Amino acid sequence: MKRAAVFLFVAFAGVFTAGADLTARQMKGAEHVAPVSIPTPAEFFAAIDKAGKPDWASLYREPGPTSYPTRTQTALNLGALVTDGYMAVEAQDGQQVKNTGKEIIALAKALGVGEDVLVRGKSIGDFADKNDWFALREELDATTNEVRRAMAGQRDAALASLITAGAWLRAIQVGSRAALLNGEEQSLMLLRQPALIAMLREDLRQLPDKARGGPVITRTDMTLTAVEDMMTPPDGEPFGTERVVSIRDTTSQLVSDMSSNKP
Amino acid sequence: MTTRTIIACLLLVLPRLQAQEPAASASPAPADDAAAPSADDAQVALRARLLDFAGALGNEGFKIRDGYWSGALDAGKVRRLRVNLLAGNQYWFCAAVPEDARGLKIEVYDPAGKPAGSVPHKAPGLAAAGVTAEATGPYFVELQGSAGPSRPFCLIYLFK
Repeated sequence: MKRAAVFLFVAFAGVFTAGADLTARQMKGAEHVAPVSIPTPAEFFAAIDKAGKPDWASLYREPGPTSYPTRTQTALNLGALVTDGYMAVEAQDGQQVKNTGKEIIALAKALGVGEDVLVRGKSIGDFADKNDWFALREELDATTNEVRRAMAGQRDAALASLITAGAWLRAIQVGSRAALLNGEEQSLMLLRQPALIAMLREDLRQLPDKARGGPVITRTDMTLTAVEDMMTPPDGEPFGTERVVSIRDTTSQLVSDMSSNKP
Repeated sequence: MTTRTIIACLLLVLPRLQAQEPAASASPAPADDAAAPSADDAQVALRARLLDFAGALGNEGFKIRDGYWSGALDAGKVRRLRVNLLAGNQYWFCAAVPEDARGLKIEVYDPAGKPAGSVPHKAPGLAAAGVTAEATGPYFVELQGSAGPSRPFCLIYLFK
């Protein structure tokens, strides 16, 4: 009798506590915490690898300038470089990781970060020498967050948002090239991330008016808007190669323009 | 099974259906600043416990995100976090409250708001949910505490 009571209690508990679906209001009210809500390029590349491992080294770009005329341009490019670091990790290319790590730290220094961030550069080099790809992904994530915190500490939220936007625009550029080379639908569909782009745009929208009006942020927001639109085909229209080509071209243009040493 | 026993079972589970929701607002409730380092010893201790727990998952190839979500979990209330997951990746969401707190529950919902079929794990003051993302997009991680005073919480996630 007692066993039956326990079983029925568990059964009833299961029925009443099974998760009900969330309502639209509940989903809309969910919190957004950038260091957790926004994935890292490493997660994106892990998914791309599952869909069809690309030749990551073939997606490298030429080294860029080591300094930029404005802090906003520096921040955007620092983000893009972090993504380059993740690519080098995927390619298991220790030398490329070290080269990119040095560039990241050089730009971080230009933004006025503290010694604890600069020490990360040595850690990146050490892990690269040991071919510790696991630790390198975590180190790149930690370095990005430390730089973002340093920017928040300098009351420069715009730069923190631009670092994230820069990382993702470069990741989408690379991801779209990889997906087009692969041609598989599973790869192409990974580029369909309008919710993530909307989140990046929301971060920029919450910046003070003065910060939002600058040319780098304006151009970044315009690119994100265009990309979000490309990721959201009208009902009945497929999300396929054509849209991914547009996404690739749009993000490539921004990344290329921003990494040229022009104000 | 007597009628009295059935009624007792119902009385025990019904309060869960009445967990309070945050008041509706035009924009999401302000999130705690998980990006800034916390001077709160309790939060530091929670994160240390989580990293210790997550170490075992690291041995299975899961990578720990550096960022975390932290704050206070009020009695009977839920908190929800939006995360963006990539199709094909596997994730573990791990949350901690002080070990003497009971009843921490974690649930993951997919982009349509449906439970994502997570694999649960529970230990004193810890809860974790493992999920494989079937689709790319926004997912929702829900935390719920039990009756009692407001307690600090911390959540991290891992992926592979």
